[in-house]
Amino acid sequence: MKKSFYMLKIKTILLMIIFTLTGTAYAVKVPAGVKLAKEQVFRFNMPGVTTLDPGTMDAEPSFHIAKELYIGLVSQDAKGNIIPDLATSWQANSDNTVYTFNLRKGAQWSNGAPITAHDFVYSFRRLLNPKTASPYSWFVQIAEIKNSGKILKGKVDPSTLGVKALDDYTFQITLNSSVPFLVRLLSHPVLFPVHKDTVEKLGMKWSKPENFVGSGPFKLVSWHVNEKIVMEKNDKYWNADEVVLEKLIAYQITDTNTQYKRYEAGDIDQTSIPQDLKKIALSKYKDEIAYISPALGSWFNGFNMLGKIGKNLYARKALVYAINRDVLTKYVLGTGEIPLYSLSPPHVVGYKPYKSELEKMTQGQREEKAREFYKLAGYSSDKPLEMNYTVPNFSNDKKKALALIGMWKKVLGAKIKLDVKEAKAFYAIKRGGDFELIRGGWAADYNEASTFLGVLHSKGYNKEGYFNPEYDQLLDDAKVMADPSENYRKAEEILARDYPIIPLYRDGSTPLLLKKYVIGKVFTNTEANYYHRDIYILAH
Amino acid sequence: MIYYIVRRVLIAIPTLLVIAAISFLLMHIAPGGPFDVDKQIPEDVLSALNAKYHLDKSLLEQFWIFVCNFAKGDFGLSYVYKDFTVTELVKQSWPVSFELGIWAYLSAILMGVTMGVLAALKQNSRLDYFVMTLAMTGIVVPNFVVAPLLVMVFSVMLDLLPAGGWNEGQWEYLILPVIALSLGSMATIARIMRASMIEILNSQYIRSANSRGLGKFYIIIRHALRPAFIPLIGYLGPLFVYIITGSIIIDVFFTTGGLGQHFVYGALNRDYGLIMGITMLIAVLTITFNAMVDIVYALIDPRIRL
Repeated sequence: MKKSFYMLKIKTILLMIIFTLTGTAYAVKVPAGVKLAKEQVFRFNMPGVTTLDPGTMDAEPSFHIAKELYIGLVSQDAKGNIIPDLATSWQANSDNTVYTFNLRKGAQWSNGAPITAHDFVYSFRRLLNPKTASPYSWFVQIAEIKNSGKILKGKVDPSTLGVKALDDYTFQITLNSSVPFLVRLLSHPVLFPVHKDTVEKLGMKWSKPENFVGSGPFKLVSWHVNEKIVMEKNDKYWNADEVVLEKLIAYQITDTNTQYKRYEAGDIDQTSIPQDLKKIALSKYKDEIAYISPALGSWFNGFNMLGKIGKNLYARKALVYAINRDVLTKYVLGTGEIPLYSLSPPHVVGYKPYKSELEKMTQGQREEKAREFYKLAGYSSDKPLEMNYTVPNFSNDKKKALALIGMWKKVLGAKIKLDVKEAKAFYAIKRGGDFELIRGGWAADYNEASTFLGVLHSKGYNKEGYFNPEYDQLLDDAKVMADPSENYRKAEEILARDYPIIPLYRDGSTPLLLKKYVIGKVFTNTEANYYHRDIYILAH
Repeated sequence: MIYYIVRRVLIAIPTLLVIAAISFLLMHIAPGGPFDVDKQIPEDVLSALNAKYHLDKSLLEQFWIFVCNFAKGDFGLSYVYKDFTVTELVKQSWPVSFELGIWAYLSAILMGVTMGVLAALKQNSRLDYFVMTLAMTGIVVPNFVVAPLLVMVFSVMLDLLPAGGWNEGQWEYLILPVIALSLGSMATIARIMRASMIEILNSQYIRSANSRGLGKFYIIIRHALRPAFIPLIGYLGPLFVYIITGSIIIDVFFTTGGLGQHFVYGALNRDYGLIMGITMLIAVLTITFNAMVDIVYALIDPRIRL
């Protein structure tokens, strides 16, 4: 008995020595025998970060960095599936109106304080508080958290929000109505908690590097606005043992050409490819190409349904049918875009795509039909359709617009006038509804078809002014259905009948360049959620 | 001298007020605001934002708030960079622009004066033509062409220098931006010095000094150089402000995190707080440097009375 015990002890010690010497205790994911770079640092570009406080964020660049510095109830894996993060398990009641989350015991903030359900309650309330003035607070309304709408309007106090800490490690969310996909929404960084004590003590100064307290795989070291953000491994992250990367630098380079040059000079490890250098880049760096999975984005033009021409169904249909989407995507845009004949892209969760009449036709048939509609709308070569088409002054949008105007002229003889506006002026016009035809598009906020279809709901973003009670009802009913795909298809069928928008294309697979020594960064997540906790750098 | 400085400071106050008022008005006339974005913010949230940043008040009220804060040295919040006050953004970016500016300024003066004086001394020689061609190229080729060329040669092809960034001002990161920033001014200074020097060298008192047998080198240093600088001084004051703040293209191209980027993005993003902060900073700098230039004029040329 004694002898075997000693043998066990010796074996264990020997194994520990072996593991320490060979370094396989470093990280579980790194295959044995792989030589790692001495400096585990990854440098990439993420321009346009405006804040690192989840409570005040409003755009993609800030969200991307937030995912490195903070974690939430759940996260996503490389394919976009939901995985546990701060919540180890969760249960919903029978009608999906109350969700209870069991939190990970032992998870700490970067200052050593425990992460508890009280931090979650505080952070959700803070997000909705009109004093915080968070531009993304509407996201909580999408989740239908109880009283969120009333709190936003200032009618009731944020403390009435449907979130509760049952105890230190149990967090409960109560909803106004059923939301089957609530957990999906919780992977968005706006809903990640912040450390209550730090935020209350320091106010807006809390997210500065010297005060920063986060929960993610990395912590903030420095932020030189417009130059770069430097982050280092957070040893207090609950899964820090699995993180190999020591340093993460997010440069703030806004120009694609400049970014590409910095990649060529070896300053950064990843870059997108400027369009006119695509051929050269793909052949020169053929070992360094990575393809991004098609994003969840839909690009279209919106009619002003309340306008003179926007009211005319046949005029709208003529413009929709006259476009050659293959030419538009392949030759005019040319970075992998794919023609789209509906509002929702086919690969979004919950939507079973079907082919509309428009999609099933050949281009010749479409153009013939377009001319028919044009006549029915009351237009002819003597009395051509004249309309203003408002676009922002981004080169892609201008190119697209000119191509479309050319197509409308060629097929119909219509005289569409291009109205280019500077970015902010464009957004102001869109908000005011002062347009006839406007460039539109929608990037998914979460991976479910309602994020797209909701745009044309009468209570949705809906700058087109589209009011269809049948459409609204389909979407309202879909909210509580376990399988809403039937309703979503019917909703798309209505859009294919009314065409308040001109569907054009969706983002395809764009190539970018990534240095060969970067391992573990994959671009298969269609919501473009890339996490750097899983990567490591080979010796080079 | 003291009276002169006090007088200049007193005149500065109404000047700054007028500049602030005009900038404020122009800023608000431009269509669109800081919270006009592609994914429109819902009305309730928008009113909360407007309240937080005083955009729900009248223009006059907002201007008054700005003036009162400015008098206290507080430029207010950035409307876009939610984690920063304007003062913090300026504090962070000012050292970058200042250091790049100083180096560019000194290089431009040193190289420009040397080139100009040499060209003047060897007027119409091959050296003169060479130097002046170089100067012309520097003036004509815009710095947004020079900068990428420098990067292509020194960073990509030769891999000698980084292609951008600031990295707390390490010397390798300074070289290319400083060259790109100083070339145009260097060339202009060379031309001014050359012209001025030629005029001086042909003047009566130089010729008489020559005829008295004084050494050429002595004449240049003791008699010619100082008056030759006079036309240049008028250029050097505004030049300093221009180099620091007009380094917009350099800042944006090299992503240095300097003032120039705040200039551009502040306007594009309608970041009212940042725009006013930077505008007032430049106004103060310009007024200060113009005053300094006048004082230097008086010091150099005894004929000038302040």
